Amino acid sequence: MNNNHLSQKELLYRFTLVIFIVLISISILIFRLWTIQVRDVEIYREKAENNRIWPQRIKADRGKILTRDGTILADNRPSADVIFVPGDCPAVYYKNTAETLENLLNIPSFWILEQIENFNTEPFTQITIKRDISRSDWIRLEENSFQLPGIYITVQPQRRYPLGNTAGLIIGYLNEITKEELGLYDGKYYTGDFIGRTGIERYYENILKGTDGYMTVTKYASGRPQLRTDRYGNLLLVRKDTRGHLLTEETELRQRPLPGRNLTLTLDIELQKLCENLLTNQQGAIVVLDADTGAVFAIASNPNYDPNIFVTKGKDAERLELLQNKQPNRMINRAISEQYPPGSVFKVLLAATALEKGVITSKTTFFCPGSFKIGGTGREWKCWQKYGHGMVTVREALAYSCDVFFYNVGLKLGVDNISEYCHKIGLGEKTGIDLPGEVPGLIPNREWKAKINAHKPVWEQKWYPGDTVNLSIGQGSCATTPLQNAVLMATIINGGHRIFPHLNADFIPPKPEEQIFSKNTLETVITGMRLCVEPIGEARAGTGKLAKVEGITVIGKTGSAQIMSLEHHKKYKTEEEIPWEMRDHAWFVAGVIDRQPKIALCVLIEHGHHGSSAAAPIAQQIINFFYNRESKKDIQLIAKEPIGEFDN
Amino acid sequence: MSSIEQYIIHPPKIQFEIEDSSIHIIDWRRLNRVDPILFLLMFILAILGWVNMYSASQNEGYSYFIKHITIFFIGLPFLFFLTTIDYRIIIASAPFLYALSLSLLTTVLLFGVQAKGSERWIPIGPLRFQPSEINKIIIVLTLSWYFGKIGDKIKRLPWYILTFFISGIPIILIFMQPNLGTAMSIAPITMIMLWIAGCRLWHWIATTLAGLILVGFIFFQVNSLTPEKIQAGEHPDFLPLKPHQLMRIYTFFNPEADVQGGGWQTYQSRITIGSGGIHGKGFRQGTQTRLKYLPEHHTDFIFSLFAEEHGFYKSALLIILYGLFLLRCLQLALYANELKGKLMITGITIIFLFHIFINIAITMGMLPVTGLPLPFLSYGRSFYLTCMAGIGLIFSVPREKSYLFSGQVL
Repeated sequence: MNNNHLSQKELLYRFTLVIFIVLISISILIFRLWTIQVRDVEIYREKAENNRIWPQRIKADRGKILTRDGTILADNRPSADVIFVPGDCPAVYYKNTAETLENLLNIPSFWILEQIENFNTEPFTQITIKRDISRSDWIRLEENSFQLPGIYITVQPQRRYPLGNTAGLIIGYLNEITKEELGLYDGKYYTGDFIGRTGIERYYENILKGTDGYMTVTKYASGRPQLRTDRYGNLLLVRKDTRGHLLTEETELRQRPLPGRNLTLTLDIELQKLCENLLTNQQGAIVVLDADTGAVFAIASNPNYDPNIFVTKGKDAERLELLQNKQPNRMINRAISEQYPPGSVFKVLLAATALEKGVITSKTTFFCPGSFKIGGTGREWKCWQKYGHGMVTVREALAYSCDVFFYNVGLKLGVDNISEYCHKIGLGEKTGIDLPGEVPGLIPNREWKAKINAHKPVWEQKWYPGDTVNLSIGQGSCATTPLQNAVLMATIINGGHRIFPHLNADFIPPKPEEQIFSKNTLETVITGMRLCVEPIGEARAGTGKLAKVEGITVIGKTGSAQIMSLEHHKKYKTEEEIPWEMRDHAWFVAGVIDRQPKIALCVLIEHGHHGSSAAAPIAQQIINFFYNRESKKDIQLIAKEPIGEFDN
Repeated sequence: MSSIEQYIIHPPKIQFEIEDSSIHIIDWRRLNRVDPILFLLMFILAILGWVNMYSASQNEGYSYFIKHITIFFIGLPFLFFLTTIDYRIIIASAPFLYALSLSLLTTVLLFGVQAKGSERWIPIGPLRFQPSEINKIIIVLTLSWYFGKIGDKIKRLPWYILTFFISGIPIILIFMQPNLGTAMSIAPITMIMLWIAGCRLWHWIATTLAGLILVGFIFFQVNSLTPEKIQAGEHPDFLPLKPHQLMRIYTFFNPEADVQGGGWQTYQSRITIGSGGIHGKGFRQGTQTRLKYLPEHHTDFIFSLFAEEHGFYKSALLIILYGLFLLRCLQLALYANELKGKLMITGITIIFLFHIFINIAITMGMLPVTGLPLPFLSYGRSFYLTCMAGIGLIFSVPREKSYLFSGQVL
């Protein structure tokens, strides 16, 4: 034993170091274990829970949109999706199943097999094979179900608009949410969700959407939840993991989805249909309001579109065409999102304001020679009646739409008074209707002119009496929407109160605060507007005589908004020769004062030439229909009901 | 002529190594050298390993569990067989084993089978043999033989340096496989055995410091890279590591930076251990493992599974059990009757210590992932047999009479 060169003492000392190393190592490990498992346990527990438990969202049904009589404007139809759960199909049948599916649904079998291969570690994953299959495909799948183990059909809600084009612009449409919006509505939406884009769907998105529910599911490391549904779309809890172990105790429904609230609209759907039919083949808009409450009975705009093409498969071509923004734009609601010069319709406001301010009385007369000059010199403004109206009071001026009378009135009144009353009624401002995309219109005033011409010389910024003259007959820079004109009309016939137009039937209109026009004022104005439609005594009927309805007191006012100067029109011999896009816009505002509910309506026909010929007959038909229709509504409803509920 | 050259020219004859010619090479009576305490500790660890493997393999239909038990009962006769052999013969044959292992390592480099991107296996029929595992034991044997031969000449610098050539060649060969963990494990084995062999203190301290500085330098170099650069195959000039190995070192420094990639294992392992808490989630109730969040949960990260299911107290107890196991080994080494026996036991103990410490440290996110198994708990048949062999060799060393269970019969 020559190799025991170390003494026992030195050996002990050297071994002590090794023992020390062992003890140090063990201590380090235990200390680290303590820090992880005891000190920081809560942090790691939470991380493990986040790993494992994952809330699976259950989408809430979107609320329906109805009218007050129960007609469904938008609801959800079931869309059948074909899913495949590889775990329910023995591996030897994969190929057979894929080939059968190829025959039945025309899906390439290699793609299906590829999908199965991708999910081979989580056999209980639902693989979506095809979305929104047709009814005949569904039946064929059911017939062949014995050949298709693991194939299920789940049902997902899909938006549907049963009436198609009717009220399509009001309802709006849904579309898949974009990435940017996902960030905007942080956490409320998920990829693949639909969100309202226009119309009611957009404005009442929060009400219609509902609250999503969620169930907790156990998540595998790959992040795919193991979820299953039965063939009716109800969620089944996970029964097994990939090796067949029970996982039930970990998965429970935490919160049921809260479906979106149904929304009832004030629309009168038959009136709406009629209005849209009346506008066929011409561009324009019709607004019908309840003059007292502001409830909207109809908003028609032509051309329009069928919102179904945004939510139904296989309508890509139509969708593309719509979104290409071709003229005329079918997606614009002309009643609220376009503004036009109001033309003679504006005279109603001017007459009422002048009477209210005391600038004129009902007896005040002006002489109309057919043209007008400020101070007898300078530029000449024409009356539409070449030879003039002679001596007119405000009544005749309204009935026969005398321009010269209102030039005088406008000058006497001044721009400040006009804009004050426009503001009171809501002209040139958003009316606050519950639809997105409303434009305010424009009523020019001194500040506006100074602002718009700020970069120009001082004399351009100044407001001149000529501007007032232009404004007096609703020309110049003045622009309103059909809805605003309807609101103006409603204010005249409801006793002088500002109204707030709305579509939601649950909306409670605010109490009228102030009477804008006194009773006497309104009486005078109404007489004038009545004379416009029907003869009173010896006075012959005015420009709106085509709007007369037997047995109903209709008041109205025509308007022809020039978009080209009169000089330009003189180039053409007859009116028919004027190119379509240069013709005047035809307006007609009307109201009914002796029936309940009082309706106020506004008809706009783009390039319709004359309100008296193009717009007034339409108003006549609307009023006639509204008050004289036969009560066949109920019969129609009964016939309609099954189609709405069980079709498809 | 130095004595090492003499040995190379005239290989030692085995008969001369055994002083008493009447001793049988294999004698069943040596079985009473089996230390009951160490055997009991080993058996407890093995049973814990089975129980744990039962839980770990529930996703795989218990196939690993059955194989894990089987290998223990295959290894047990092997252990007793090694105990009955006179250990001096094994140590005397170490140079041949060393040459054999070098040729095996060369073979595996040239003809090895790819497994997880590294060449480590030699397929022999249906079995796959991992030469780098048995190599650790052979290094220990060779060093024991070498230190036993040169005796106190180890205090002289040339003999001291020669040690590093003996252990350096296999390190380089294993490193080229590349098997980072095994290659690194040889360094502490060499250092501790040099220490026990009686080298000079300043030699030892200088070498250790130099090694630590080298390791620190490597870490600094690796840390200066970015994951993208590493994936593109970039590496420090002196460190020809494969991208996945560099990533392992890199993610050690930046574990949170790359949660889904290389740091995923460590991150999930820490969550697994931490979520166990003081009392654990209960046997076979570990959610992290069952839902496949913890990768390699039956091999390298088996401790995480144990800690998750059994909690802090039992996990600490397991670590203490390993500590007692190691201390008992060292105790046997201390009472071995000659230096080469002491050296062999110490070397084997350090193999165990290295595996236990590095493995558990990795699961707790203290070290980069290198792929070292945990003795008796991890699934891995080559390594399990190596452990059993190591314990067999520990038992085969006779102890002095002064010590209870000395095992001195012949």
